[in-house]
Amino acid sequence: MWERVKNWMETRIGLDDLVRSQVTEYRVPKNINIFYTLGFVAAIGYLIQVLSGIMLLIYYVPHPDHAFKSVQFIMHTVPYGWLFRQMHVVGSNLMIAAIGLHMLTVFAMGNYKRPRELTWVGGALLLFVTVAFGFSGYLLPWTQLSYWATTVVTSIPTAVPVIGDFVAGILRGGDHVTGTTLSRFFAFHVSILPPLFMILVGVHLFLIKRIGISATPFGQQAEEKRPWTEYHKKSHADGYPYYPRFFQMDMLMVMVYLAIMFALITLTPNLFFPEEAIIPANAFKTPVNVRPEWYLLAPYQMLKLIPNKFLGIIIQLALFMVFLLWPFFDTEKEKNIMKRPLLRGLFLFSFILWLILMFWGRS
Amino acid sequence: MFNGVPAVILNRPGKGLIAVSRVCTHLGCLVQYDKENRRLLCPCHAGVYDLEGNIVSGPPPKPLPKLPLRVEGETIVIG
Repeated sequence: MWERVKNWMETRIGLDDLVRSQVTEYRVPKNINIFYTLGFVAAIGYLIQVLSGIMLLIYYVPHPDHAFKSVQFIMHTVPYGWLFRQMHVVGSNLMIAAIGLHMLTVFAMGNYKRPRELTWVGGALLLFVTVAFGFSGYLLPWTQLSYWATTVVTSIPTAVPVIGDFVAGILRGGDHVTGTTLSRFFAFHVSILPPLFMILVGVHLFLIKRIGISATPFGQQAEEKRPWTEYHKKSHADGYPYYPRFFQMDMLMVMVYLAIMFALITLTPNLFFPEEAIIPANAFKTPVNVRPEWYLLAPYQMLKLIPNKFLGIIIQLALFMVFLLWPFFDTEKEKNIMKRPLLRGLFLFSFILWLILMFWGRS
Repeated sequence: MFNGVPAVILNRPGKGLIAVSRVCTHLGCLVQYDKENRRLLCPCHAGVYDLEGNIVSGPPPKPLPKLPLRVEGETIVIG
């Protein structure tokens, strides 16, 4: 039976050739390391979000009178509803962590350099869209935490002169967070962001396939570490085949990702559900501990520290643009960060500052 | 609520009643009355206002907007 299906496919799409060219004979650099698997791990993370999100959609009702109750129904009555919700919530945090770590390691290995500038930009936009997924999904359970965190974050644009109130009004659908905001965030979360994400993934993968995987800068000849000046596809003829060697590394890291996810769900089920996250939204009472998710804490704390809100937003926009367009700022030929003390210092300083702001914002 | 904005009426000793918006001018959280210190406190980022709605400390950029209030007999009319 299987043979017949295989032959049928072979006649139509040339399955053997496809598997040979894309899997068994597809070569990856010899000095590839475990961090190269993080993009694949993030893609699997997204798949988990899609599947668990579809399961939640069956029972979730995006209306202020029903949203909280429907989420409680999923958690307490629907068979295994709690599991899918936990996977969705924990998975959203882990996916952002995986993409963040992916970008950190790409940065540390200088793999954003020419000719891969656009691959970096696509990846940074994917991180931005993933954070937008997290932010829009945060409001949907309609809890005290989600309501007030959304109030705070959607108030941030109001500091921008002329267009600030307009932007906040577009986000909220009015002056305050209401049922209209919930509808907008729901639509954004389930129908606008997913195709946007898939388009960016398509562009990202196209660039990776078209340009070829970048080798690490460690243990190579100086000439090989320099970016080339004309187009040619890096095929790594002397590298390892993707299957089975690198495929096994991919699978190992997916298992690690799943192990972390289920360990968090099992051992710390309330990690992402503080007290305010289990109380229905009350538009007349702001709880004491309002704060966004951990990945927004650093920019949030920075906004709190800068006395002028407008200046704070401008600084953050400038930092985001530097991050997004970093390959165009860093034109130094040397890829190896170990041979670039200034860049290494800047990298460590930024990373430590981000950690300090994150923990400070949490306290 | 006044025009969709949560508001509070304060009875200031010797100065009479005043109505102010409860929406903190920093990031939109609702201020609460701090009975001990006789002031209005924002629970989000510790913005502090006096009973006139003026900023005492913290990140708020503007005072709390005052709402027009008058007393007609035993009725308080806002607006």
